[in-house]
Amino acid sequence: MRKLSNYFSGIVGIFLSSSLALSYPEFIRHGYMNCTSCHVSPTGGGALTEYGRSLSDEVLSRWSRPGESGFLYGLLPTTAHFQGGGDIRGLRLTQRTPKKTTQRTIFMQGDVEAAARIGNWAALVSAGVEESGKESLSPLSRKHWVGYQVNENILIRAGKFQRAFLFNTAEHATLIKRTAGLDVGSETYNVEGSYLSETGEFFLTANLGRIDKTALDVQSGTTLKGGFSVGSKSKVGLQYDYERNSQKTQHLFGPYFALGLSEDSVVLSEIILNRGAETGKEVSNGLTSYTRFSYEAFKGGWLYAIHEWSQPSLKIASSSQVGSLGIQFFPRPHFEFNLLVQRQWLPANAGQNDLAFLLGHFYL
Amino acid sequence: MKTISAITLVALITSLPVFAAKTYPLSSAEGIVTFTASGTPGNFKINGTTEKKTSVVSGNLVQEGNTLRLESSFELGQLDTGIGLRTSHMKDKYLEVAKFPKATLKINLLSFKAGQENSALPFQGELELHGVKKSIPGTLTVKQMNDSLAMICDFSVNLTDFAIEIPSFAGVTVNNQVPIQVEIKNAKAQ
Repeated sequence: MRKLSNYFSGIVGIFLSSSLALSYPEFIRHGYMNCTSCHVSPTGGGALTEYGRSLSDEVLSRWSRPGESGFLYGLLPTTAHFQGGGDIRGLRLTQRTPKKTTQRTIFMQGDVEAAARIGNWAALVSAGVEESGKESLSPLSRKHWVGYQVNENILIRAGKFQRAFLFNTAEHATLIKRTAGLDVGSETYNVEGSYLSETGEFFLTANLGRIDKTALDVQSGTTLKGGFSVGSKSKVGLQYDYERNSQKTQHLFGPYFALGLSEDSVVLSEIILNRGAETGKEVSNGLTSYTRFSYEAFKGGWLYAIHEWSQPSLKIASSSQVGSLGIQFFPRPHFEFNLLVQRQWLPANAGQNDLAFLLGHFYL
Repeated sequence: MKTISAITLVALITSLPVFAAKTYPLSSAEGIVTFTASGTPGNFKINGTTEKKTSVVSGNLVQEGNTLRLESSFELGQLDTGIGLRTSHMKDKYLEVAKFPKATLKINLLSFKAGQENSALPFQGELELHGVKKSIPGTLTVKQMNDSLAMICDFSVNLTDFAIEIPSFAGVTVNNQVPIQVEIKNAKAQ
C-alpha cells in the first residue's frame, strides 16, 4: 500500500528534477518514425539537428520567420558537424490533496548541450544545474556520451544517458515511468547498440547504473526494445527491461504502440507487466498502462488527454488511475507552454488528488 | 440450312458486345494518387497524396476482351506532402512542376487470363515524368463491379532515372526509389 501511495507522493518531487530529455514522438503522424531526423540522440530529446530546427519553424510553431529556430536564434549555426542546444524550464504548480492545497513555482531545468560529429564518430555533452536543496543549485551533466556510427543503421554509444525504454514524452511524472524508475535523475551509464531502419527499430542497452556514484545504489541491468513500422505513420513493438540493485530486482515487459491516426492526431500507448521483488520479500506481478491521445487543433496548438492505470500487485485488487487533460502551445520557435489539469484517483479509495500546472519551456 | 445460318448470324451479333472495347474515362471516376518516399537519417517517410475526388487522373482505361490498355495523365501540382515548405520544395525544386506539369503513364495491351481479373497483373509501361520517358515495371489490379470498374496501379520510380535531383534538405536525404500508387474507383464505361 505504501508503494501505491509513493507513486503519487513522488509526483511533485519529479518536477524538481527529472531527466527532461523530452522529444515529441507525436511527430510519427508526419511520418517521422525515429528520433534521429530531428535529434542527435537516437532515443530523442536534447540537441536538435539542422532538420529538427527546420521542423520547429515549419511544423511545430504557430508563427515563425525563416531561420528563427536556429541555435541561439542563429548566432551559432547548426551544421552536419555541430549541433548546439539547451533547455530552460519552469512551472507553476497547484496541487490539492485530501489534506491540503499547495502552490509552488519550480525551476526545473537549465541545461546547455553541444554535439559534434566527425566522420563516423559522434559525441554529446550537456552541462547544467539542478536544485540540490532549498534555494540552492548544484552543477550536473545529465548526458555525455560518445558514439560510433557503424553504418547508416547502426550506432553504438557509451556514456551517460537515459536507457531506451518507454516513450520519451514530456510527461515524466507518469505511473509507468515511475514503475520503470525513469523519473528523477534517471540517466545512467550505458552501452547501447541501436539499429534504426525504414522498417523498424531495435535497441539493446547494457545499463551499468551510476558507476560514478555507486553509493546511490542505482539499478543496473539490460534493456531490449524492438518495433516495426506499420504503414507510414505508425509503429508497434515490444520492450523488456531487467533492473536490479541491492534493494530490488524487477523485470518489465510489454508492448508499445505509436499510431498516427491522421496528420493531426496520434495515440501513444504502452503497457508493461512488471515482475519483481524487494530483497527477501515475495515476488509480485503488476500491470501498468499509459495512453496519450494528442490532436493538433491548429498549427502550434495540441490538445491532449492521458489515461494512466496501475495495479502494482495483481493479487491485490487495488489499483490507481490518473486522468489528465492538457494544451501544449508552441507560439514561436524556442517557446513551449503546457497547461495541464490532472486528477489522481488514489488506491484503496483513499481519495483524490487534483493537480494543475502551467509549464514554460525555452529551448536554445 | 438457312435456319442454321440465321441462328449463327444472330449468335455472332449477340456475342459482339462481349468482345467490343469498353472505354472507362478516368476523369469522371474517383481517384487518388499517393507516393511514399523514405529518407535518412531517422528513416522518416513522406506521404505525398492528392485529395480523393474526381478528375485527379485523366485519360482512359480500355478493356477489350482479355486485354487492357491504359492511357493516363496526372497534374503533379495536385500533390501535397502535408508540410508546406516540403511541398513547395517538391514541386518547385525537384519536380519542377511549372516546367513539367504533367506525368503520363501508358500501358499497351496488358493481357490477362480468365480468373485473373482481380489479380495484380504485372506490366511494363511507359512513364513520362519530369520531361523524361522511360519504360517501367509495375502491377495493375482491375476489379469489375456491376456497372463500374476499380483499378489500383502500383509502380516505383528511381528519381535519377527521370533526371530528378535527389531531394536533400538540412542534412536529411530522400531515397532514390519512390513507390507510387494510383487508385481509381467507380469508373463507368462510356
